[in-house]
Amino acid sequence: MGEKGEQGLRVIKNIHGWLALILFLIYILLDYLLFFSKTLNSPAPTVDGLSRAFAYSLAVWVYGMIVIIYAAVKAWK
Amino acid sequence: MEAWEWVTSIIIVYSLIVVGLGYLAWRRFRHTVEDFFLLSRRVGFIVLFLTLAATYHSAFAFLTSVAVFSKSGISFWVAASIWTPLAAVSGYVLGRRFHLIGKARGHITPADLLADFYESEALRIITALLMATFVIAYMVVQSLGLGIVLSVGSGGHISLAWASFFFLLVTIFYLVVGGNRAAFWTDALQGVWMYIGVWAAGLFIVYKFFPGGVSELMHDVRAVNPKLLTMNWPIELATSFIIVYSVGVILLPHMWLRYYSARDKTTLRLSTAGMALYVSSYYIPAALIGLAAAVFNAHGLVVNGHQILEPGYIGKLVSTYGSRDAVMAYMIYTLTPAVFAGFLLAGAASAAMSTLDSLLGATSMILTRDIWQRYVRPKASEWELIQVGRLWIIIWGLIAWYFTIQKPGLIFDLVALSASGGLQFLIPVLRAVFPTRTEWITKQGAIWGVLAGITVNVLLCNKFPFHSALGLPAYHAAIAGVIGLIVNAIVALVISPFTKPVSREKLELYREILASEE
Repeated sequence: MGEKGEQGLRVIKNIHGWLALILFLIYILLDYLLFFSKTLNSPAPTVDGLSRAFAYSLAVWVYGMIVIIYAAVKAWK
Repeated sequence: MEAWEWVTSIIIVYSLIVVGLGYLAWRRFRHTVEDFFLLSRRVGFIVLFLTLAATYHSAFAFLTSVAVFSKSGISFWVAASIWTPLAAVSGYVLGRRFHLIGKARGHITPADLLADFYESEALRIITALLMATFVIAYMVVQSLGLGIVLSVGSGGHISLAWASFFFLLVTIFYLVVGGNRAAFWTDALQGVWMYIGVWAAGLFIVYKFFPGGVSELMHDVRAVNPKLLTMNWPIELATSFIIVYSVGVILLPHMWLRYYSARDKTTLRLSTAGMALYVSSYYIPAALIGLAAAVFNAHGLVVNGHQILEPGYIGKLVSTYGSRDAVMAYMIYTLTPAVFAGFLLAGAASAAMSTLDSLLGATSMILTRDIWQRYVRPKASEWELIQVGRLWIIIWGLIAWYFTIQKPGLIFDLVALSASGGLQFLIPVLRAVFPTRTEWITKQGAIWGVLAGITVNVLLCNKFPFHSALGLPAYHAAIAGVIGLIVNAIVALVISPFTKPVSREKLELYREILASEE
């Protein structure tokens, strides 16, 4: 098998790692949306009283933690 | 007993407990350099997870986060919710490789790895001296935090200078006696204590003084200053914080050596996930306390006809302590029952002490191993090296105390200054731990890149006087650090094609070490 073939096999073998990386990058991008979206970055209250910006950031953080746990369980073996 | 006596007594009892742990660590000490500094590379999951988390979180987390929340609102949370998991992830990506290479090659310090890979003694000296210098700011942060905790907890009866001196003595004592094992063990205790402390303080303050809970707090914050509930840091500043407080901190020696000491890869993996959850969730109660502090600062706080907090009380704290870092300790002391406040402030002390001990231990290790053993007394016995290590702990502790009593400013900025120094090692580190066959960074490229990065960092940083003398623009330490990193990378990439590459044998050796575990 050539070097390219070996590289391809490594990528497939570590598919959870690549997926976790992509999901983690999405997490960072989602957080950065607050810099660009005036709709999201608003002090207006949500149903629980939190500001829209805070509630959004907390929700994104929960997603990020799920990604980290997924990476720890499936990807970093 | 008066309230301040209760609080002070509990903090002192807590200090005695950690001294006791230092003694227990000493009883397990095997009298070798590797055991003194790295616990014979056998640290398991619970201790590694808690020491990583407690070392990463320091007076920065317990004190300055609340101070920054009270001024900048949730901007801190939005940025910290990126930099904390990113620190854990970059810690895993780099730390796992530090662990594998360090174990195979017998590395003890960060400079060991860089000097070994690039086959350069010059790089060893540069790394050792720069790291030992830049961590001073980080030590000052912890010493300052400890001083604030005891000074506020004593109701002002103990001055900032003497309060920080007391805690320095405690930390130096258990570290000198028990080595880094004492630091790791006390970190485990402190990691639990500070986490419970910040959540207990947050929930108590919110539900005691805002009967409608978080919802009422948010309503009051919105009435005082709605900007506190949005992200209002400029993107370049927030991005610089994210880079510096994640990767920059991980590359400082006190974090780096923890990856060397791990027992195995599984320990590292689980510790990383635990660290990410711990360090980021820590800022949720800190945000609540900081926002409550902002409301009280605007309106004051009256309970049963008594003025507990005056409007503008934060301004008075700034004039006493040189920054608003004392807000958290002051709120705990003023708003919670004395015994509870004692436990919570002991938690605050934990946060700072667990990082101070790690910093002192790591710096002592660098100066002993990279300078003393290598250039002063190459034939020194293990016993002599341990004694020299202990002496460095005392010297660096006293240096930190000297700068502490100058009241150097906000902890948040000092940590950025320190971590911006660590960040300058990113380029040579990436080359060493990802040993691809592409020859993109050489020894000369690494050396001149680091020197250029550090120079730019120092010249542009608003904490130093050089920018005004040279007519240069001044930036926050985090931004100066990132500009330094960019210059660093450019210099390294420009010089490398014209200089001798890293030896093929060394590249293959590192590739084999890393491949053997995959």
